[in-house]
Amino acid sequence: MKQTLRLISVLTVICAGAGALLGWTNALTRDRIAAALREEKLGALRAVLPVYDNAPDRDTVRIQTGGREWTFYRARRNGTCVGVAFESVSDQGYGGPIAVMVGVTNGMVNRVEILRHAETPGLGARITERPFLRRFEQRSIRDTVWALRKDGGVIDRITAATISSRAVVDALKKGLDVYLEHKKEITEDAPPSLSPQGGVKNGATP
Amino acid sequence: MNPQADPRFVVSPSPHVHSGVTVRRIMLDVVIAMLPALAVALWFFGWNALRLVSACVVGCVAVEWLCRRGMRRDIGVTDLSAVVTGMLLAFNLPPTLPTWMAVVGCAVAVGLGKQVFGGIGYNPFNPALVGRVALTISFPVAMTRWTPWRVPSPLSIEAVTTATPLGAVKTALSSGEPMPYAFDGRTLLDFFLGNQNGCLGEVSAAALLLGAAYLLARGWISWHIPVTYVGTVALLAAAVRATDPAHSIPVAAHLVTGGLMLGALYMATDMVTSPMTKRGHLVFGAGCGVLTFVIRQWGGYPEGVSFSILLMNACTPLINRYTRPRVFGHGGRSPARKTTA
Amino acid sequence: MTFYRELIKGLWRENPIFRLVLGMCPTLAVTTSVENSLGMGMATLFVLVCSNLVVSLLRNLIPAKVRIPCFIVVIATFVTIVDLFMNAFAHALHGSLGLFIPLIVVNCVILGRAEAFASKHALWLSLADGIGMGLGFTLGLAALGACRELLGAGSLTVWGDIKWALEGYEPFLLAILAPGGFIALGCLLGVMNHVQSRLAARSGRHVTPPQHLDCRHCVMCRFGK
Repeated sequence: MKQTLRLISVLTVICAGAGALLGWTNALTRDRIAAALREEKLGALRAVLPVYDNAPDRDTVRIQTGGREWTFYRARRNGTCVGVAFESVSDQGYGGPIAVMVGVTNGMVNRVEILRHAETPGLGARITERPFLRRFEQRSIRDTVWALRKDGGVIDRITAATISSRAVVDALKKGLDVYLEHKKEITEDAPPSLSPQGGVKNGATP
Repeated sequence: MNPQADPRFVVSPSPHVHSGVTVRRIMLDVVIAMLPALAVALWFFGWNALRLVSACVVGCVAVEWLCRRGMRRDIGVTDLSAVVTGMLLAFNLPPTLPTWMAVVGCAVAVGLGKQVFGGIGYNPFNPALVGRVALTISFPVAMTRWTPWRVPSPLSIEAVTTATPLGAVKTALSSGEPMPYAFDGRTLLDFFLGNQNGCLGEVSAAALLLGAAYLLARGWISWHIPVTYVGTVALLAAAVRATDPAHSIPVAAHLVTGGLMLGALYMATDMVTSPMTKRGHLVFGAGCGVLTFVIRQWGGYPEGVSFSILLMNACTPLINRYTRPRVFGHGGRSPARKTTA
Repeated sequence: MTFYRELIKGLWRENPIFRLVLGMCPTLAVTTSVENSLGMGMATLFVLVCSNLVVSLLRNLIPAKVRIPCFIVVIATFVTIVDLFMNAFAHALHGSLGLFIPLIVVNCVILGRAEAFASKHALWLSLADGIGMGLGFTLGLAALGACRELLGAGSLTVWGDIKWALEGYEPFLLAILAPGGFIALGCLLGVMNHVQSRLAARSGRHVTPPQHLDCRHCVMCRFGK
């Protein structure tokens, strides 16, 4: 009995100590982690959007369609909307899902960035390189056939990485379809003065 | 010192009486058997075939010599096994591959595929295939780049293709386009004779069969592995063709395209890396056949011969274990039953 | 100089990767670049030193029956701390190491040192052991990462932008893919055995081959001679 009590008390004390230490570490790093995560998102947004002066990650529109939620980030300069960005995921990658960030401006695709992927290094992973991503950029959203040339579209694939190239096109196309369908709601301006958080129309983000 | 580590105490298995057959003699016969396919390769691919075959043969012999030298072992390159490995590796390469990549393939094939395990007889995997697969994985673009090739068409229009028949079929199926070939008698005969795009040594099933007949006549290979291998592929192809004709190619097309003949006749039959018993050969061949067909029909690659043979090489010790022949006089079901040796 | 001996044994004589062959999961998984290797090595070094210190401090308090749960709680705590700090201050590296940071908890090197060394030795020696083993692990990972990145990508990424790349190099992709990890590890092990037996032969010591290895046909490391 005494033995068991000792086991229990030692374990409890150690766990309590560990818990206290972790709580303290968490308090210490929480803000930094949140800032790092936000900076990561802002970095991707900065890369795909034209120059802006607001905080697009706080000026969002959320749209429920096709069983999932899409978040559209709006970039403004002097209060007017200069571009919209969104994240889209394709599950048709060779090594797993491929997530892309797409920036749209003036009815054209502005820039595309790959956020996450698990493609083969040196082969499918070449989807992250600029020469490939440039094939999507400065194309009209409406007038482009978003498919590989091989599948009857206009995008050149990466040699020997058809599946990865196709998955990127798939992610892009899915997102652009949603954007076109809900363009009005997305670009409709809520005056920033009325809603400092932005995006009140379709459910504000905190 | 541990007595087992001392070579003087190693008891070697039979045969204790030498029949006069040497490794060099067998390897020389394999080289002879590969000559028809080499001639076809030279005919169709010309300079590129000569360049790659000589680079691989010289490369493999050089790597073998360097490894043996570096390990301070008897040199032993005169047994011609490195020459065979070099020729087989070259047969598995596309004609436009840069020479230096072929030499890298030789280093992997002989160095990592054979000599690290202790040289000839101790390698668990077919060295030439180890080299080929390493190259396929490392240089996927160069390993699937084919020269433009004039394809005979039933309408006698000379279409130009830059893909192997299997590659073209896979592309067509994945993008929903119509089949690139009609697979009628004439096309198939052309493929059989070697008029198709592909790796150097795999294009002509006819030449490969001719060489294999020589090996069979000399007794260095038995019919078990090739027949079960090709038979399994044919059987599965027939079954899939019957159930889903829109997404499959005819049985005969499976047999005359890709590396099936080269793999089944020359590489799956490798004495070192295939099972010892006839029963084991049957299991080995069937396993290779199933894997090859699965990769061809449903896999990401158009061709799966090299991967399937390597995978079955890995299973060889297991197959040997389960197909061990019964020791005479032991383990029979009934003493009255007649035993067959 | 016991302290010094415990400190340097992890670098070569009892190197966790090449001698003890422990912690193979991160060894094979994250050594695709020098940067990842160093990041993983540092994280492991920190956890190893902290857990060795704490385990050594508590070694007379922890009852033998529950020692493994106690060690694991201690290790998991420090791993979580590393995870949080790396996420906060080296976010990009945290992203590329991903799941393998939490998996340090199950790295055999750390539990192995806690059980085999720190729970039996004084604080001072446990510190030396932790630093030495951690550095040995880091160096081993870095060596493997350098070989694989150089062959498989033609570059050496030391940290962030401190990067050196070969121009016009056609990468040998196999080296940074999963099988390349096994092949590179095997080759480095062979080289280490070779060097060690060479050194032993030179100093006139007798080298005993590992009992279970069939050394008759392989002469890579010259154990067989």
